[in-house]
Amino acid sequence: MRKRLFLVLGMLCFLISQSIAQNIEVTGKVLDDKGTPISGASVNESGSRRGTSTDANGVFKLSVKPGAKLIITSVGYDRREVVATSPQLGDIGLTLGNQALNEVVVTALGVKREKKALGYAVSTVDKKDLELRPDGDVGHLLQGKAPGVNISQSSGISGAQTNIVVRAVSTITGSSTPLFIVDGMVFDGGANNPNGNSGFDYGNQTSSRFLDLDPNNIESISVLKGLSASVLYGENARNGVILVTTKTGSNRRPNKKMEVTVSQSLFVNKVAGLPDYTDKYGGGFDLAPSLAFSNWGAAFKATPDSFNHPYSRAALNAVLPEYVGKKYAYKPYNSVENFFRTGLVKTTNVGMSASGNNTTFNMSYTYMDDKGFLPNNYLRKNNFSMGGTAKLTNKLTMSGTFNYAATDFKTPQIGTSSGSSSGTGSVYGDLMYTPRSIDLMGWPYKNPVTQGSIYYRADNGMQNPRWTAENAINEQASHRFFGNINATYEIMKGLSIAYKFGLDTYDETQALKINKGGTSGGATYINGFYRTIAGTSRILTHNLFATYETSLSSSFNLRTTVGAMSIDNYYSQAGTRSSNQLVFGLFDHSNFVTHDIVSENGSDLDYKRAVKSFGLFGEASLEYKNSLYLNLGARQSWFSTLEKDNRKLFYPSVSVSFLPTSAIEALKNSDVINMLKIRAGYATSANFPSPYQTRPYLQSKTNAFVDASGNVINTGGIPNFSPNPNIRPELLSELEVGIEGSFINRRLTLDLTLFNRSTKDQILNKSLDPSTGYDQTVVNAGTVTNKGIELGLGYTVVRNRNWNWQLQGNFNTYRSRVKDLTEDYIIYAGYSNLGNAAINGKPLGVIMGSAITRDDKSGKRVVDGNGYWLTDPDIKVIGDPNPDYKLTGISTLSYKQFSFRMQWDFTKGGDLYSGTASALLARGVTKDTEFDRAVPTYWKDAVKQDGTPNDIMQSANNLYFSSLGFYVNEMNIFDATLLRLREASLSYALPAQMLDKTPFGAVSITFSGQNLWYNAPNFPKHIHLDPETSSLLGNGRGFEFITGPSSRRYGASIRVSF
Amino acid sequence: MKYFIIGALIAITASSCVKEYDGLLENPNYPSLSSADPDLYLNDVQLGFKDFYSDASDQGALLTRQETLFGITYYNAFTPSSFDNEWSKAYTAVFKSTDAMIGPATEAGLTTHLGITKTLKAYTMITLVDYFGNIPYSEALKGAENTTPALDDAATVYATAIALLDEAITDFATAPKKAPANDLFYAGNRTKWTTAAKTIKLKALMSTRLVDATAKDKIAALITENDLIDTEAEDFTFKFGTRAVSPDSRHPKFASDYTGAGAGNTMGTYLMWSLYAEKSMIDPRIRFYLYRQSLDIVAALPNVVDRQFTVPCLFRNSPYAAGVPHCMVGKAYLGRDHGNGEGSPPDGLLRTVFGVYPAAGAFDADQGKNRADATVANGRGAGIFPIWMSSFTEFLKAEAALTLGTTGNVNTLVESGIRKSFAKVFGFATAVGVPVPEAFAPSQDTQDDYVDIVTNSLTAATTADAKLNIVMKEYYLAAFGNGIETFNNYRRTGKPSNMQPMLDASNAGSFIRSFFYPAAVANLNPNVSQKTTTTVKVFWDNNPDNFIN
Repeated sequence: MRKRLFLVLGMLCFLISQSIAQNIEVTGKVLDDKGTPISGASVNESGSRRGTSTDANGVFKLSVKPGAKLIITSVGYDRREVVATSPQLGDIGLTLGNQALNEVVVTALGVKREKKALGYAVSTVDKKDLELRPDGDVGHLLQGKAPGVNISQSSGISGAQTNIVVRAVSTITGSSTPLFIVDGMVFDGGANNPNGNSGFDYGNQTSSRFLDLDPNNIESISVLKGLSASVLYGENARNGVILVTTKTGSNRRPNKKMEVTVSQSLFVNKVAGLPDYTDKYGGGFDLAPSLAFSNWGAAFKATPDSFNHPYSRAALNAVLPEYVGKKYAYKPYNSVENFFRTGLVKTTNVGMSASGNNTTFNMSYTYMDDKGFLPNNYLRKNNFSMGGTAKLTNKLTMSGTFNYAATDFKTPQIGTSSGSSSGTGSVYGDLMYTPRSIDLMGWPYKNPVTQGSIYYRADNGMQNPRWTAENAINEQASHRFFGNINATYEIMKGLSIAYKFGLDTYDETQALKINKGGTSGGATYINGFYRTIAGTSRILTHNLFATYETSLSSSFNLRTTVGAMSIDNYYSQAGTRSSNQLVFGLFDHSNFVTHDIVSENGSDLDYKRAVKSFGLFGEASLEYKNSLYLNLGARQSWFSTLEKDNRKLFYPSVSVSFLPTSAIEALKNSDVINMLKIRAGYATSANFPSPYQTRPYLQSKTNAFVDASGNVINTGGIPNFSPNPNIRPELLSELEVGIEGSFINRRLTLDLTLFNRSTKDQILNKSLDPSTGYDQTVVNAGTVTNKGIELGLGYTVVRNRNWNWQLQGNFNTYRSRVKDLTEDYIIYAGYSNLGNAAINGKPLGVIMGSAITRDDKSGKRVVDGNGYWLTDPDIKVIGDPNPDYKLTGISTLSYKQFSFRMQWDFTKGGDLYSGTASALLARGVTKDTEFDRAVPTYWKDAVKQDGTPNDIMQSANNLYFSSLGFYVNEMNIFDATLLRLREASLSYALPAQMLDKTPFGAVSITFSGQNLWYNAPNFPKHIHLDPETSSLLGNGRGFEFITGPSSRRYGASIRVSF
Repeated sequence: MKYFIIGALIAITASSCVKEYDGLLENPNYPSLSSADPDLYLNDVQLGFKDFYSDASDQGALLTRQETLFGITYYNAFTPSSFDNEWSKAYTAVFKSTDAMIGPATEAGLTTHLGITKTLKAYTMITLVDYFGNIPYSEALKGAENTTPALDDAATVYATAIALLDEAITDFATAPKKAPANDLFYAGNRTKWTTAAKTIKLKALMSTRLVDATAKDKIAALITENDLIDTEAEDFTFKFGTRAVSPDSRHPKFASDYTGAGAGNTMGTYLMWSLYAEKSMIDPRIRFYLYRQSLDIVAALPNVVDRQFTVPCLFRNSPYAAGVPHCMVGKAYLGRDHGNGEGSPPDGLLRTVFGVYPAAGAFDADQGKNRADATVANGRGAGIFPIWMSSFTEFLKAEAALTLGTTGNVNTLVESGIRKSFAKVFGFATAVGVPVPEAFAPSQDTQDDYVDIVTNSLTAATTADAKLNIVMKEYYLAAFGNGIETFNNYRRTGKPSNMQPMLDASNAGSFIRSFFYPAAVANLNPNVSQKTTTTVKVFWDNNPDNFIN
């Protein structure tokens, strides 16, 4: 504490150094063109440091030299100069400035700045694009709305994990999650995988903590994409910053003394797309009907054959006597279609804002109940927020926010599956390829005596998906508090000092509950399983900074900020895993026989971590005649995860913004070029590693083995991870240039950004040949470069009294390259033999996996003696998940009180490894494999091992099953080009005159839908896979291991304010 | 001046703020390395060795038809990544913890700790060479100092391993200042460990007999010294427990066959045929080795469509020459043919599974029931890894007598080997608490009959090669549960000579003479280039190409 006191004193010394001379006092009132007072307008005496701002009534008082020139500015208005001829200056009108020119955006540290002054790209998303939507995850809602923000989700279930990447992934193994700043304070938006299974196998089943934000309480979101924008936040901002201003934290003043808004939404939540299943063939193999996993059986007949019922078997005869000797009809049952339900999303929001002379107060409460289309899946949220400001004295303003979020998420297990069941449990694992002749929904799914799973396989080896949905459940509940306290003291006109304290803390419990009686997952799961984990996270942010604004002369204005920020981040968790359930149905650790403190995969459930960082920063912005801006910034950071010599780093930034339309007289009042801005910036940043990678420890393991006599064996050894005390931060540098403009009477708007980012000294979890004694270490090696283009184009097609039609197009494309790696390749996400790789000269993240052997001479693919693909012993590059480009088109059409909005997203290219397509094709269950199956076939354009053309015939089912689906990874790669109607909405607002005599201020109703249609044209026609759902989160991309369908939502909202 | 003061204040603040960062560098989740203790290292070596053996034995068992090799070609039968785990266990657990322990254990006079870890390390080195040929050794285990260790000559590694066994023998000769807290093999008995170390030496020397002219004298010396594993008490086995979870301490074959709805392993048709049909009598060990879930598969599947799907091979013609087993053995010994690449049929409740020896499953007393049936008693997984059994020594001596002319009567040695195998196997059911009904306990007459059949055929065999074939067949049968010895024996002697060929023999390619290097090695270490074929022979194998199938 003492050291922070020092800092405060230091700042004060620096800042209190002004003297005030004998002068006259002038007063005036600043009004807009409608005569409404403008509060907070700056009034400065030109050539001196004297200045003030207007109060709530637009009135100011200032001591100036007689005859001084006063410069009056207010964000959004044109600047005006007035000469202080007399003490009473009367009303001073300001005219509304050029909108595009004077757009105000929230930048680092929550500072509002005019967009024209910025030398970097900022995307903003307004509340109207976020509220009253059928989705409670702000991440999902941001998709496509800000150029350069790329969002993927793990599945279509309610509460699924979201992955947000700003621009492109530029680190191989570091985090790519952007920094979330809510009301100026650091907010943890990541997802916890406390069972130690980050990402791949179990990762689909946890939610992102970003979910704790309430979309209905968001005033605006600014996305700071480049490093220039975020240097003040230091290394945490290297992946971009998502600056969220909540309504309750925005200190917004309502139009009247008090305003209450109530909204209610109701949306239907359905499966967006399922495969077109065949109605021609049924379960079996080799055209013979049977109870196979696959659908390569006999063709259905008009009068169905009947076969012995699968439940007429010895093991079930006693408990299901009604099935003894029974037959079932061999015909198509719509098992998968009927498995899903129609979910419902209900959202209720109440907002209130009020203000007094020196105070504002805002509050919001939202309850959301999102019932998924998957049985037993739901997300429930309670969000309560409050915020207010009080001007305690003329100099001192205090403000604060208080947010409480209780989030409750539940889903059946949806771990990864490679096409047949799932080692980690998945309701989808055996569902999606259900043979057509299996009546999943019509036959019992649990043993009436034991409650265990029963299904059609004679050995009962497949767990019934209905049983899974009911008995293998993941739960996650969190209680979160985040809020801040701010104090701003205006030492003198133009100079203020602010202190902010932010706290973001939550406790989260996760549980996996599996009743006994299942059949998948081996001994770990089938006798009943219960794993609970309780984690606590705390982020404390202290931020002290001073801002000084002054006019150096009539042409130059200077704005500087200096400050210090410290972030302390703690996380700890404890957990228990129990197996062998005693009584079916009860989940309490005492109802289980065996208890353990490690996860299924052996990782510790008990874990703690502390990371701290500290930074000193400064920024100066010099303005010349409203047309040229120079911004200089620098930060010195210290980070606790590295050894002393490597833990501190200095990084500078510089950016320039130039407005020809303000500088060149001829352009000033042009109707063709209304505004033009050219900007350029260069900045650097760093990426520090996660903790505990520099020092050795003893890899101890208790209870590693229990011998026949019951002796417990504990082990200890040198960890297989080799620590590296010399590890340094990754260094990022980025050059960014851009043009912004509005043309032709502001009908056409343009925002173009080009950037080139280089990240060198990548911190790599380098895999080692185990012959070294270690299988992994951490090193600095390799460089990733990213180049990109982000373009936003807007055009107003029609603009008149009743009609308004605007089109907006957002385009982005990125190209990455890896270089300077010392090894042939590094697989950094996925499995060791199937994952995303970094390879010199290739884009980051190419997919490597097993490949078909190529003939040396012809380069053609080689088949083995059976006509199946011959697999190369080495894994190869088999795909590139990076899309060629992404395009979003938004159309907003309004007529009087009606408004119709549509958003289309298009992704060109990018490969996806699809487990779903693979399983469906291999098992012959969709219309894609409806061809005449009696005709043998062979792989065309292939050669035999001796190099001669392939002519080895095989039955279609052998070829699909043994050589396409589960055989070689290369065959499961598909081009993920995708067109989607992401959103459409129609809203109607009651005209104000209709409401005049009612207590209501505004009433509106909106009908809207999300994910209404999509098509991935390069997938087999009948798979209908949504390539946007993928298994791998984090830095992994381009993998889908049967993650299930995505969600389509539509419904209506009504909002009333009074 | 004021700027200077401010600067100084900021510097002081910053430095005091970040001073506490030093305390955040130590991982709070683990003890520090200085708290390591030799007992913990020893346990790490023992369990790492168990895991190494498990993978290696499985691979050998699949190739020598104890279990079924899935896959159509030898080339694609094992992907390089399937060796990652065993390689990692060898180097990062067995080798690394052995080396880490040597200093502190030597200082503390823990000779038994030293001897055990050296013995296990030597066995692991020998097996790695047997499987892969040249391996990194002299440049290995150096961590960041050398991330690309070069390969050492396989023969040199073998010699180093043998020298390490000698070191271990010397260590065992000195009484330790403190016995190990846990010895999962011999409960700290140094005499037995000495015998084991010498026997592993014998095994290694026998492997090299084809290429090393000096091996014969060394083998003869060991036989003469006669301190070899030749009693049941000396058997070198890893002993499993019965704990199913937290942690799963059961025999892995039990764990995969006896949990879940269906059996996890598939037995080799050839092995079952060898036990059931090859001789004029059924091998008395068959009910101990194998458990049938049904006594009559055809009767259990009266519906032809069901049968066709569950046991498709019943409807296919044998691609093999007459006399080679195909599909099913007898009415109920259901496994799979060597190299069958079809998808798994739903036969998990019908196929034959591991019995009471060595996995501690069920004894086959004609129950004809699902092995998980509550009325079928099993040994709860407290099985053993038969790493070296007293019977093996006898067969090896017989091979030495036949091929090298060392002392000993082949007939007597083989008889002794069979009887030792019988004793171990028959006694094992009781040892793990599985009752053997009187009617099914092999009588002395049965055992004698079996011995007579083998010794008679030995006597009848006219050539040393024919005799060796009989020796190696009996060795093969006694070695059930150990795929390492059968794989080595097959490559060294080409026996047993009647192994069932690959199902699609014409396209299967040649038998694997050494494995691909693990993916983790070949991909990450530029000094190890991947083999282009799996027909590369290891240094002690000078047999002709294609001499085995």
